[in-house]
Amino acid sequence: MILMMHAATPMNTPCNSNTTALKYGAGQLNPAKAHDPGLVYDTVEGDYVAMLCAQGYNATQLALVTGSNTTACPNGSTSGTPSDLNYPTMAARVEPGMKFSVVFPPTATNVGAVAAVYDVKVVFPVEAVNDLTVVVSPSRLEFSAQGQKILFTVGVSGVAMEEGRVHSGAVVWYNNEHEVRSPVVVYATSDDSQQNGV
Amino acid sequence: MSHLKLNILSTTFKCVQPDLSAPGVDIIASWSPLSSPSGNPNDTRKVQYNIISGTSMACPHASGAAAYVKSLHRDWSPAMIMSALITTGTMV
Repeated sequence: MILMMHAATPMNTPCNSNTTALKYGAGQLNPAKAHDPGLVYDTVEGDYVAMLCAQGYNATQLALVTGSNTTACPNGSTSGTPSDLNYPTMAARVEPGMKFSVVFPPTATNVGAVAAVYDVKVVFPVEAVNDLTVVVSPSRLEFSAQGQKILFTVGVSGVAMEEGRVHSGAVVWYNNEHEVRSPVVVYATSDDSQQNGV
Repeated sequence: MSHLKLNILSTTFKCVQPDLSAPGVDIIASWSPLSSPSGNPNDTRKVQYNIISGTSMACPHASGAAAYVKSLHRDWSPAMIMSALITTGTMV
């Protein structure tokens, strides 16, 4: 009976184990669903170049990656941040105990039915609610063509947890045919050089 | 069950690492006769197949799934295919 209750309770999804998304990412791949994802987050070469530029790559370093001496940073600038890269997962490092606000600006591309409508749900374990607020805008995506792109924003704000704590959840676009899940992780550490762990 | 390299977090890229899990524990696969099945230098056996674990075993599953998606959507970019694999993953 206890097991059944757990199985029916969202807070016992793997998300409430604090490091799960950092262990499993989006979960185990499922080819039967992957061939029909409904929405995708597309990225082209220029987006990767902009990401490298945002990290301070110079022309020489860029050429090593792109294989071309003609690659240049957009407008010669290094503005923007790496989180601008259109990517199906989102993560934010936050300073322990500090107020924070992070905005991700993903663009969804409709690869499903011509007229497709998606609503959003934000899935986080109960213990995360005290620490952070996740706002997705708009909360509904209405497509009228295949290949159509719609930009939305995912704002994550709140007061950061104590050092080492992780909140792991997801933003999910859904309708009757599809569930498009993006893992979202908020990780509190004052050590921003801590990129590779175990 | 999955076997994965565990990155705590990429603070630079601001995306979740790892992205995705794939089967990687106790996977049977063909094995080079140039290497013993145990890896022990005193082991002189040659085998055609072996069972091992790790990301080396998970990666071909992910590659195969990507190829399967590509076979149905020839015009999709690599990023679109990766997105499709990530957003449809089964929570484990």
